[in-house]
Parts: sequence; C-alpha cells; structure tokens
Amino acid sequence: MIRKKICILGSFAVGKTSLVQRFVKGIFSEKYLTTLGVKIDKQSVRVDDKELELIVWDLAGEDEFMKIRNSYLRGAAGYMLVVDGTRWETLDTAIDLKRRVDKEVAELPFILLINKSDMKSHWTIENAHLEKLQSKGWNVMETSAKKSENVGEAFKALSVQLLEEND
Amino acid sequence: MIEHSFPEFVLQKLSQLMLNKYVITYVKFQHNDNTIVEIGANSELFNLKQSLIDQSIEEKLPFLTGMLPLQEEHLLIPSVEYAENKQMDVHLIRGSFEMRGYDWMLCHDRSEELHWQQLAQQKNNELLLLNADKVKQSDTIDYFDLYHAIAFEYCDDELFRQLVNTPQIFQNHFPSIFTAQHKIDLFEKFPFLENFIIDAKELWFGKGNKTTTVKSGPWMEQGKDGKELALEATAHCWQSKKLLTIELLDERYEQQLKILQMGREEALMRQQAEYANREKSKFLTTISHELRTPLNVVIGFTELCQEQSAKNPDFLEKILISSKNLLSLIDNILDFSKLEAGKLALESYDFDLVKEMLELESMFSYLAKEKGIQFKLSMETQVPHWVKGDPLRIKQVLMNLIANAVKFTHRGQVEVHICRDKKKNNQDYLKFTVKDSGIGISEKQQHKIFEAFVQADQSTSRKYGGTGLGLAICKNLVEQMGGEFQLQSQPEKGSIFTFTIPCINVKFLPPNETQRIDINNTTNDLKKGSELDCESALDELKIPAESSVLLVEDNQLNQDLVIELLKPYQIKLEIADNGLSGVAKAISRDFDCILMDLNMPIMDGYQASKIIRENAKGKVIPIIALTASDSVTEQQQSLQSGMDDIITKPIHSEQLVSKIAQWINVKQFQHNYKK
Repeated sequence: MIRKKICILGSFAVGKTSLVQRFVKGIFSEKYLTTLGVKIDKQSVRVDDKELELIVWDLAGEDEFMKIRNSYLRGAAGYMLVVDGTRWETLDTAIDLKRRVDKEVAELPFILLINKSDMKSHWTIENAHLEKLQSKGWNVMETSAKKSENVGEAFKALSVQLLEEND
Repeated sequence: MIEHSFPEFVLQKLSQLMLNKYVITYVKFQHNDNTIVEIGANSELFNLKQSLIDQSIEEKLPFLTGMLPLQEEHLLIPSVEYAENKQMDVHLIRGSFEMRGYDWMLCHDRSEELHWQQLAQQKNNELLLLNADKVKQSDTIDYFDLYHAIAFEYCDDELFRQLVNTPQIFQNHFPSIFTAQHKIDLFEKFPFLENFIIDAKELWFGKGNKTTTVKSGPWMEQGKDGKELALEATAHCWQSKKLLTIELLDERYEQQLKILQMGREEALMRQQAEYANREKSKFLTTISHELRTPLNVVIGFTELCQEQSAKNPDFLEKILISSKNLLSLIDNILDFSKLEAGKLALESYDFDLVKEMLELESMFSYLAKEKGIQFKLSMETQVPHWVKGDPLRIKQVLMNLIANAVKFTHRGQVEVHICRDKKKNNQDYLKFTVKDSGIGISEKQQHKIFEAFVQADQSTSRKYGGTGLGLAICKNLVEQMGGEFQLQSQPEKGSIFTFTIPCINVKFLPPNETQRIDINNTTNDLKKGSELDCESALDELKIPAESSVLLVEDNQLNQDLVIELLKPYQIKLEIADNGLSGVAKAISRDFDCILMDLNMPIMDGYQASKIIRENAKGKVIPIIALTASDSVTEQQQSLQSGMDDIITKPIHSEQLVSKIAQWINVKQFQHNYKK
C-alpha cells in the first residue's frame, strides 16, 4: 500500500480537526477545542484500483499566538489549506501558508477547502476571490464537517493529485 | 550474569539493585587477608579484570583502604570514579558464608544518573530542573528518577536505549509501549518522532552548534483509555552523548491549552464583533443613501418651484425647511453612529481659520437678526490666521453650538469668541466660546445633555425640536480632536459653551496686523486678500453657452432634477442610464464635462471613469462625481478612479452650476495653454 503524509493547514478555528475527525472517525463536535501541537491519524482512501494510506498531520492553527513549525511539514506529499468561509481573514492566512510551503518545503499538491458551507449565508468570502484563485490553478472545494458535505470527496481529490504526482 | 551463590543478605541487596536496572557487578574477598576470590560478570565494564583474583584489594582497589566494614555491616562508598566520566557506587557487606568470613563489594554504575543530575544542574534544562525536586529516597540508596519523562540514549543503529526506569504514569497510559527491553524502536511506537529525529540529528551531529537542546513541540497520542495525551520530545547533547527525553506534558499542556483556547475564543469574539460592526456600517451607508436619494429630489424640485412660482412661496418654504431638517437629522445620526463605532475619520490640514469664521458669521448674523437678537463673532490677535486641523468638524461643532444658542435665546445676544488657551504638556490650544443670554440649563440637566438622544427635558424637544444628538456629537468630536468641552449655565441667564482644540503647525499674523480683529468690522478688509479675490473670480465663472454635458445617472428622478436645474443655462445635456452606456457616449463624442453617478447597475461610476480616462487620448474631460454618500473612502476612490471633483447629493443648483462652470473653464484654459 502506498503511504503518504499530508498536512492540514489553516488559521485557528477554521475546522481542521473537525474535518479530520469527520474523515477518520465520522464524528463531529459543535464545541470548539483548540489544537495544540500535532495530531496524527491514519486513514485509507481507495482511488480506482489503488489503495492509499494517508498519514494525516492535523497541525495546530496559525494565529498571533502560534506559528506552524516548518519542520512539521517535512516529508509531506501534499496538504490541505482550510479556510472558514465566514471569516475572510482566514483566506489571507491560507494564501500566506501556501507561499510559505512553496518557499520552505516545495511546491506540493494541495487543495483549498472553504469550510462551514452549512453557514453559507454568513460567508464573507466572495465568489470573485475564489474564482481568482481557481484561475491560478488552485483546486477549491466547499466543505462542511458539520453536515459531512464534501469531506471524503476532498480527501479523495487530494489523494488523486498525490497519485498523479506519484506516477 | 551472576553465577555464584550468595548469602541471603547479599542477595537481597543485589536484587534491589537489579530491579532498578542498574548495571552491576561484584567482587568477593576474604576478610582475613583481603585477597580477592571471586569477580562477577560485567566486571570488565567497571575496569575490574578477572586477573585481579588472588590479588590483594589494598593494592588493586586502594579506595577501599580503611573502609572495610564490621561484621554484617552495610557500608556505602558513593561516586567512586573508575574511569573517565564513569562513576560507581560501592556497597560493602561483610558476613559469613559457608563457615568463612567474606567481604562483598557490590558495584553499580551511576554514570547515567550522575549525568542526569549534572544536566539538571544546568539551569537551561527546564525539563530536568522540573524533575530535580523529585529525587527520592529509597533505603540507603539515592537515585534520580524522572516522574514525567523517559530518557533514552540514541544508538547509531537508529534504536534507543532506555536510561531510566519507566515512570509509573507512562506505564499507566502506555502499558504496551515501554517494556524492559534493552533497545527500542521509538519511531515505530511514535511515528511523530521520525520527523523530529532529523532536528535531533542536526543537534547531535551538527558542528559548531552551541545549542544543547532542541524541542519537538507537543504532539498528541491516545492513551490506554482512549484519552488524548500530549507528549513532547527533547533532544539533548551532553558531551558525546546523544540523548532524547519524552515528556508527558500533562498539567503544563492543559495550562498552555487553556490559555490558547481563551485567547482564540476572545479573538473569535472580537472578529465576530468587527463583522457585526461592519454590517451595521454597511446598513447605515445603504440606509443613508436610500434616504438621501428621495430627499435630493424633494429638495431639488422644491428649490425649482420656489424660483418659478410666486403663488405659494410659504408652502414651498415649509417643505424646503422640513426637508433640510430631515437631512441634517440623518447626517447627525450617521455621524453619531460613526463616532460610536470609532469610524469617523478626522482630517488634518492647514486651513484659513478667519475665512471659515467669516462664513459662520454670514450664516448666523442673518438668522440672529431675523430673531431680533445680536450676533457677535470676535477673534483675539494671538489667534493664528491659519491653523492645522479638520475645518469641517470644527465648523460642525461651532455651527451646532451657535444654532442652539440662537434657538434658545429670545432677547439679548449670542457671542462667539476665539482665543489662544494656556499651554498643556507643551501643546498650544485654541479656545472657542459660544455665549448666549438664552433660557439656560439647570445644574441637574447639565450632566445629562451630553448623552446621546437626551435633551434638557422633553418639553424642550416638543418646543424646539431636534434629536438630542447634537451636543453628544460635539463633545465626542472635540475629544477626538484632542480637546476638551465645558459648559457653564444658569437658568434664565444664559449658557457658555467652551471647547478647546490643539493648535498645531500654525503661522502667526504679521505683527502690524495683530490688533484685535472684530470680524463684523473687518470683513471688508479681509476680503481684500488675494486668495479671496481668486475665489471671487471663480464664483463669477459662467457656464459657456452651448457647452455639452453628459449625465451618467441611473435614477430617473435624479436625471429629471439635473435636467431641470441646468435648463436655464443653454447646455446640451446628454443622458446615459448606466456606466457602460456613459462610456460608449463619452468615447463616441467630446463632452465639455461629465456628471457621473457612482452606484449604478451594469457598470458603476468608478469603472466607467477609469475606462473614459484610459480612452481619453490626451483629451481633457472633467468628470464630476455625484454621490449620495459622505464616506471619505468613497470620495477618495472617486478621485483615484480619475474623477476630478465631487458633488454630494442632494444637489443644489448653485453648487452644480458653479462646479460645471469651474471645470469647463479649467478645461478651456488647459486646452488653450496646450495650443
């Protein structure tokens, strides 16, 4: 089986841990519990006839209190940038993180997740912003860990990119 | 290992040492002649060679000289150095065994423990210091233990040798991970460490690196009962040893997590409040725009009717006054909301204070005269002609105070006086005083009238009107400008409102002009200044006949209003319903001036102006923005988009005509100049 390390990156409280928990354990908790450090989980994904084991590194969110250690990204085959659709600032953080990964690690396969699609009426991120990123070749998906919308699909989409890279 | 038989009292000690996983050996010698008779396994590790058998201990082990114990006595000789950086504790036990008297020297290596103790003494080693107080006593042996951490030595085969006992807490949470095995594969047990080992190796094998430790940062592992536990690894470099500790963060982690959680919850709340505020501002801007648009039409048409119809001037006058009052009310509400939200941006630039005061004087002397009261405005000679600040807001405060003074004074006078105030903290101040002989305010009411939506009493509101926002706004504005606001008043005698503002970067009047200026008397003199002459010249500008003007405006009523306002001027007026249509018209033919609404469907005024400018090919086309918003950002954005000037709705005919005339004349001047 092919094993790949992926990192989940993004600002704080965007729903990184919720997405991983939904993906790995199929659970969701309304209560916001901040992550300190790293949580590592494993989950298999089947893409066509290939089985891929994702080693998911759920990293503590970035903010003024805490910066993501570049060393955590070492050995990652790809990553997910998670954004809270209701907080436009979190898109800035994601763009900044992407720049850092490109500079400090390498240009790796990634996917941008605009999470909290269950609260779309409160989104402050406009479609125009996302279209601009898509026009640059960014793979953007809308997800909801709460409603389990697009979560598995997002991990699968990244897995496809990883396998393409692998080939 | 130990192959020989021992008396019970020696075995007891040996097993105690073995349980603690010490590396041990022993030497047995006869106590009658001190000859070594037996040496245990591992002895080579302690530099005790088998060749010592049959030799005298006094010769070969001099540290024992004079130290031999009495019968069945247990003696400890601690920290005996047996090689470089190697130390052992020596236990001497004397007793009889198989009918003969022997001494047993039990040796156990303490190098590792002593190493840890030394590390603990290094003040920069937080982890070990934390555990240093947990050194515990057991029988007669002192040993060092790490309650929340396990220490390992890195072996070059990528395995780790456990150096200290597995603390109970680790055994409780991770029973299957740490066993008594000699070497373990830590990466298999904790995949996180595979990443950290790269940092650790940089420390262990790096050259010239003065750092002695590197931390991994916390990571989470699931314990036996499913509980998530935080661990942190630290790589230590001590002499040539490559050491790694894994610490269970426990309380420290919980504490750190709590602080982080609180900080982030606060940040989230702050962000949510900012979003709510932004929404509120957006709502206010929209509502203001919505209110101003029909008002613009009402005021514009009323003005027209007033000019054209002499039949019912009273009715129209009343409509006009009411509409203007309504507009002023909306402006007050908007200002107050902005002040509350801290969003009111003050400007700061040099301006002509005298000129501004002249305007106020002409505005209120007429009103006062109509009411049959006197109005006086005076300025002391020390007051600079030019000051730095926000003239619009200073005037707003003064207008509010003067308007109130005139409103509440039925006989006597209203006096406005401007002078320099005493310095505070090396800062110059200007002092503005508005004094009236009006109805006055009682002491009880004086405390309340600066609160928003409060008037002296309800009857005031009924009799004199107003929202009760004016003074709250004035006080807030003055404070935001860095000044102070004061009130002295006596019922039936009148009120004195005083406020100060910092006086920055000013030019004084020349000494020969430093007499007391009474604006009422010096108006004519001041108007002789060259600057005012220029303004007068501009005022006299007329719109040249047959000028072509393009109006880009989506609102039908506003279109009609501008058409009506410009009718008397023989202007060729073309209309475009949106930005795109405006661009098409502006590119297809030359206009002397373009009036551009900002918020329009299909294409807004900013974009349209940009495109017109890009396609101007050197042609001078004045573009004047028409906006219902008083937002500074919107106004700046208009200028950045290439527009030359701004007219704020409601549109007044005088202002519209003078701006069009001004810009068409500028255009013609530039055109002629180019020629």
